[in-house]
Amino acid sequence: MAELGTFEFVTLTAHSRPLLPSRTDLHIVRHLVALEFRVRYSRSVIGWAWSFLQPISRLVILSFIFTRAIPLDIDNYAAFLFVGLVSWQWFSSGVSVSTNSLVGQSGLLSRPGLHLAVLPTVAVLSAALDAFVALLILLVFLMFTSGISALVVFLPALIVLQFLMIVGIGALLCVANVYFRDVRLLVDLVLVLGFYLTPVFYKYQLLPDEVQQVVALNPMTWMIGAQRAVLIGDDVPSVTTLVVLVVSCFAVFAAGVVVFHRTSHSVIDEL
Amino acid sequence: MSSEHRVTPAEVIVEVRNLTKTFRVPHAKRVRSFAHLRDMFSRERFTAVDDVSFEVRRGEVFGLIGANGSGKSTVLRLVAGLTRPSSGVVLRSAGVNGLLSLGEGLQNELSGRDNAYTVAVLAGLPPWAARDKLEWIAEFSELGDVMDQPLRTYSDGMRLRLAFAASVAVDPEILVVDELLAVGDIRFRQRCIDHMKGLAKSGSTILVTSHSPAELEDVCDRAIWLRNGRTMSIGDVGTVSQHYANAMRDAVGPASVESDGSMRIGSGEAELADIFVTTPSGIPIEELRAGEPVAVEFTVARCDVGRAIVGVSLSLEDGTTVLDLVQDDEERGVPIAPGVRFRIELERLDLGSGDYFVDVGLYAPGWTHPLDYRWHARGFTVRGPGQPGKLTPPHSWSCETR
Repeated sequence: MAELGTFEFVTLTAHSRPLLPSRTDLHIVRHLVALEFRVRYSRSVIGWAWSFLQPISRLVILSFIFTRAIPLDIDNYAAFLFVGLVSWQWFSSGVSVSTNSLVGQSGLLSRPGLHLAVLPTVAVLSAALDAFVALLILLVFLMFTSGISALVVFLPALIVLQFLMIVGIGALLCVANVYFRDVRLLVDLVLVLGFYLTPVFYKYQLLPDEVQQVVALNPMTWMIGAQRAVLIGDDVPSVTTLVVLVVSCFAVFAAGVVVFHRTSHSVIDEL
Repeated sequence: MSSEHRVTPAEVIVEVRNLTKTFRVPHAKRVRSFAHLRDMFSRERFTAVDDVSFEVRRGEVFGLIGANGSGKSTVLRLVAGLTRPSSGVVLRSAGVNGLLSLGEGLQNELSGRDNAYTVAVLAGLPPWAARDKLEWIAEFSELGDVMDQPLRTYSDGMRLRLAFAASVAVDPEILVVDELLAVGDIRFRQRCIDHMKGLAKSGSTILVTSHSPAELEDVCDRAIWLRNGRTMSIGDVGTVSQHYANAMRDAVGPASVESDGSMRIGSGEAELADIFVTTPSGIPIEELRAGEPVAVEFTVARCDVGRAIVGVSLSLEDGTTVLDLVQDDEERGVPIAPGVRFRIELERLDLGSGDYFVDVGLYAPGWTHPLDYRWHARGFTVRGPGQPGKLTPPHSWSCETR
């Protein structure tokens, strides 16, 4: 490996901490993310188009149901729903794929030198890439329908917060899934229920008070609310919303990173 | 040039000092009631590597020999930094590359070329350097145009060739190879061995595991023999593999001839008895018609070990094996206990008419040595229409006139 100019001096003992990710790990992450997309669409005829078709068909069906079949009387429902769907879809697929990232790809961990964090990182990034594409479509859609509120400048901050939240939850769950393989199944169930228990296709304010209190425990309730506020401008995100989001997202992120770092040595022996 | 030329000992690249690794493994017994539920969360300790020390110098090929489960793969994983020692130290002065399992990160839908690219990136090459190496990989693996076919069309041997070629494409400083050359054909294995020797000559340090003393002697300079995680012997490869081979022979002991004319060989850690060829309903027979069902039954009369690989084979008088069946779960074996009766049932035996012999064997997990192997334990005769061929599959003739 002289050509790489890496001169490692490594001492491994019972107390050594995991190494920091190297430049090689970054190359690997980039390569694996690209690979993920190639594999996903390698034998499909319309390839990339599938990543648009699923959310769009969902959008069409739900907006038909809740404007025609069971009208919810929400202004500009298509835009309202679209924001919720994009945000929720990102959260749900990000959490789901990162939960399974260690167990599902454990074969890769017999590669000497591969950093354990590479696997959840690849999972989180490929989900984020999908979400990014969906977000672009959403912005174009809003531009041609309701128009975009000036508050959109806050959107990048919200996206960073949501990313941190997904990374944190994903890091916790992928470790948990190594010890109890039921975690993945439980997570998928919770995510299915979560779609209904999060104000994705309905308004938080429409819920009865006591239910509101329960739904408010879900950080995604706040996240979707804030994203709607800045994108469609149905109201400005309150200070409470922002504080709740910043605190919960950073807390979850920190917890995830710390737990992942602390457990990574014992996790490998369980895979 | 000058008489002051000194031979400096090559620098130590890998040093392993008092290395110990214990794993926490789930309890063997199954959870059947709530009282057992807490066992689900408690773990037993299992010592895979026990106080092992050695050092490997630049340019050396170092071998680890031992039966499956002796801890040699764990040592490699510890050296590679894939798992952390429970106590002791691994010191190394370079990064590790290698092949510890086959097929990690390989994608069946993508071409061999794409997969080789992935393996080379995973092995630590930057993407641009990996791309430049693809031609070399295609040539070394002798896959040529097949490189553009999807990986799902590859045989195990082809996968190994691809994985090995891509793994060594980095010119590794430290290369670890775990047992995998067992998959390749002899010619490719020789190619790999030659390549590893070449790497060592140009300054790489190589650690390789094997359970074959002959293979090890061909490749290595020095070796260590591990049993149950402990060092049994260390030093020059010839000496170590001699120790290992002697111990294997002693464990098995000489073959003996039984009173009924059958031969047995084995370590005596288990004993087979009451071997019968029977009908499906369990009546012992010595003769059957081609295409009839048949069963072979035998009992473990005595055993000092908990698991064994169980196998039954049928052979002709001239020694040709016509059938060799091993109970599933091959490498680890299945649980055995005194009094356990095994039975293998063949739905139909489409052999040609003639005399056949039944061999029954119990082997230690990992095929390390026979516990009790009974050669020609039973014989039986197949009566058929009298064709001389070795098979009589169900068949029908037809004939048409145009």
